[in-house]
Amino acid sequence: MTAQTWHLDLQLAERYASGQAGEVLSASIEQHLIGCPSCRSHLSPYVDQRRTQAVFAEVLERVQAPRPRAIERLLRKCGMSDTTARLLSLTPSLRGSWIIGILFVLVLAQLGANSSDAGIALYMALAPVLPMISVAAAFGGEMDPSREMVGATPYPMLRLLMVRTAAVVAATLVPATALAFLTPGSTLLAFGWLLPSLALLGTVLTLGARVPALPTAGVLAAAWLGLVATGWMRHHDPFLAASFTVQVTSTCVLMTICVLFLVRHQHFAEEIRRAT
Amino acid sequence: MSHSIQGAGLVTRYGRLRALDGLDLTAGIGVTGLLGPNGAGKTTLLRALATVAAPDEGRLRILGRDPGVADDRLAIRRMLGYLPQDAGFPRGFSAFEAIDYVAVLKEHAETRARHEEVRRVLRLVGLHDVATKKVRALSGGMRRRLALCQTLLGRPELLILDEPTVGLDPEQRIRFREIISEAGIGRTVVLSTHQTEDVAAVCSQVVVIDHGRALFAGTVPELVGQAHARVWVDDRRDDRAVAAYRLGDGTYHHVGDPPAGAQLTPATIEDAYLLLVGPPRETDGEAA
Repeated sequence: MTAQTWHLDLQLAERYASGQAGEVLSASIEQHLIGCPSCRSHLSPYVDQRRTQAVFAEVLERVQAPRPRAIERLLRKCGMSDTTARLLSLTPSLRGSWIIGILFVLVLAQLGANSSDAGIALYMALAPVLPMISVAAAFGGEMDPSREMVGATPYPMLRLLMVRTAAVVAATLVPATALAFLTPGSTLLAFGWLLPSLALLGTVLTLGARVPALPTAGVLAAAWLGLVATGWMRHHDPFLAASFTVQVTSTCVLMTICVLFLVRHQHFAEEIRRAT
Repeated sequence: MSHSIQGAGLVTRYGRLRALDGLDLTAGIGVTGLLGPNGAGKTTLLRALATVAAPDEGRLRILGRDPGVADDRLAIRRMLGYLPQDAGFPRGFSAFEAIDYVAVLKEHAETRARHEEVRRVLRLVGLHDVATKKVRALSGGMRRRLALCQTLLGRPELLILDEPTVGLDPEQRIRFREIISEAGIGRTVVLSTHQTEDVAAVCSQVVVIDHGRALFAGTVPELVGQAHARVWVDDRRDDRAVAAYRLGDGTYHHVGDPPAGAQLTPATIEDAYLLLVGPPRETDGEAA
């Protein structure tokens, strides 16, 4: 062990403790303090406790505060506030495994769409249903073990629902649309399912205030898949979802939901509160 | 004396079942324990007090406000900490993240201050050393403490705790009682339990509930007084007793109206509770 050649004098201890010793000298003093218990105890009375506590709090913050998850970091980079990004990171259907699962199904369906009319029909059937189920999972609370606690906090449930829905829609509709573009020469494939998808989403959100969202989404998904399957078997038309009748019906459903929401949004917010 | 909670004629229906059946309740500063068998209506009442499920009928005032009015409900929630019976967090979250999430919902917007508050409450329940551990890696008792921890965020005036000690071993229950006792100083705590020992240990007031109605409301000594001179031991089981069970020494402990010449023994809170609600039922539904 190396013998100590010098020790902190009163003046140096005061300068170091008040943060006025400069970087180089401070580094030298700190190196010395590591091996000199006498100087550590000599220095103690000069250290400002508030400064020490602030430094310790900073250390704790760095060590204990969790590194934001990938989804949180992404949302913050997109300009979202820290608090909203944190809330969204708990959305069950925004978790990595869920998103990867949906993308996997969509990619498989898209590969099928490239190879046959039946594949296109399958893609047109699945693309609107998956975002709806994701939103139902984010909305209903059945998959969120903290839902009862959340219901007793002052955070507006309607806002939480809308923020989560927007994020889920962005995370599912955007890749689904991008994948549809990969099928050459098919504008119908790229856009034909969007209106039915939004109509299904809106229906789940509206009904979700009164009945559990996931079972509702299941019923709607079964009805939609049944409709597409029937259309395929009768007419062998892979673009049934993009047909005039389906598009007009979807538009009417969406407009009705918009009007209902505008007229009764206070009532809707209250029902959301009760449902969640 | 002003009461933090005043409920009168509270009724909640689930189909044909009346989980609350005209229940009256008052609670002030200190710890109030709701005691009752499964299905008595405790959870339904606590959900109403936590503003998550409004009663169908009756008048309820919480911290001087009406939870049926949106602005009042928001104000109540800002002063409330609620531990539901089935409270949980996503298993992939760390203890710190889980509490931080609730802190965001409780309007702790500034990140640094919020994180300090999260560390404070984790320290209060003794979980600061496992702050970075995943929820899935915590023991059942630690998870329950974590759920309790979120109720303490922001030093709320009112704590609603549904079965806070359920599923805990004796050591953990004692730790919980310490936390709850401290939490009850200067604020209102309402907790439900069917552990009479918990009530005796921490509650200044006790309300016995059964079939959606309050059968008793008063202090623990007053409750015990209900069983005064109505507890006796005998070498043989007496079927006229409200409840009877065999003790370790082979004698039988009886609760009810004692026969002449019976060997009376001091009553406990459990004896008084049995006198009020009757013997344990074969089927204890969890509906309410």
